[in-house]
Amino acid sequence: MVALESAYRDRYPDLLRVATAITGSAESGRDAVHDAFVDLIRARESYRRNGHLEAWAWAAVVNAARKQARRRGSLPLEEEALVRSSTNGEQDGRHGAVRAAIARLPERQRLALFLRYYADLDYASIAEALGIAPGTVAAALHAAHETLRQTLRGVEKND
Amino acid sequence: MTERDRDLAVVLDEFFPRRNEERGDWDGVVADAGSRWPRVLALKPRRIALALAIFGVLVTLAVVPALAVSKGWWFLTYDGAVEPSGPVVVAINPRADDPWTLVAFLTNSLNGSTELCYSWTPSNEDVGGGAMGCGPSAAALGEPNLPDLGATFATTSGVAYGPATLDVATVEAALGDGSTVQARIVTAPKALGAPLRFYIARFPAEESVTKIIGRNSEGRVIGTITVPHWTKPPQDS
Repeated sequence: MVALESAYRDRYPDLLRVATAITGSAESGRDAVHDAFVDLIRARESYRRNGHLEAWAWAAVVNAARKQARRRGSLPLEEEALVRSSTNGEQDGRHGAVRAAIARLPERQRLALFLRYYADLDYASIAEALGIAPGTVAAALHAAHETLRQTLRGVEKND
Repeated sequence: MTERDRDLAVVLDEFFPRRNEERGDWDGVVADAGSRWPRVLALKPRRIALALAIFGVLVTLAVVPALAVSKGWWFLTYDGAVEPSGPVVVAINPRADDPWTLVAFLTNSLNGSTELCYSWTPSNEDVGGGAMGCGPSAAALGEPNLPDLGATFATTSGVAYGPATLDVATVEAALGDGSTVQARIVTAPKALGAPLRFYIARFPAEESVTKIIGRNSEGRVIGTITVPHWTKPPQDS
């Protein structure tokens, strides 16, 4: 319980950021983090001591956020993000294109990207959080980077 | 290992900046975890006794008056008794240095509207608590996005507490000496049936509160309660 509380308090801004990115809304992100830790407290007896507690917590937050996103019926980065990009002036094209590209990424690539950039998790932790092999994380991130770099290059050319 | 792409990191940072000021609501998480699962089973024996004692007090303070109305107990009926229209929700602060219990429920008022009833009770012997109070609430009426703050002041101690809608992220109490204290925020367990939070502001017993200020997650003031000429009642000697 103490370790869970520490994970929550120490990492809350990052947990919220990832959950917000997945759900597309800060309010849904807060709900997702909240629900995830409620579930974690209840299930703490079943926590495997050989696993990393933080990765276990990340897995719960990612799952809760995906649930919230499904409940909202929205794709990540869609609603407020795209609306904001259309009123932002100079960077509209670049931001809008990247947002749209991220929204189109396969879910695994998108989740790996969020955990890497918004939580600064290493490959092993991302793998544990998503329940996939570290090699798969590397491949997913590589593919996501390629897609997004191409998008950025395309926008710069058009400018 | 594929490193973070610097250009991409800049763009992604702009999409969702890190909200360093947000600290979450661990007490609310613990309360929600306990509201649907017997959290008492996870407590240490010493705390089980404390929890049971608090629960007993709560039953007396909150549930018994409601039963009195519904069952017609002559010795406990009075005009102001209210009957919960949903679950009676309890949040317990497990911290040994500041144990308290919050109880809340929704009720149907005489004119048919939904009202929120709540009370806060400290476990410290030297601190008084507030009686159960009921009133209209934006959250209770299903308007979670309408900024709303309510306030109750325990009459014998330095505490102000009340409900706030979910868009209220932080609450501070301005005191008579010009200082401010940050209130603790507890998200009401979902079982309550109203999307809201409660705040509990503790301050020195000799001080008075002049204002309650609610802010959203971006720090913008979205609700204020001004307390005109509030003075602490004289203590019994």
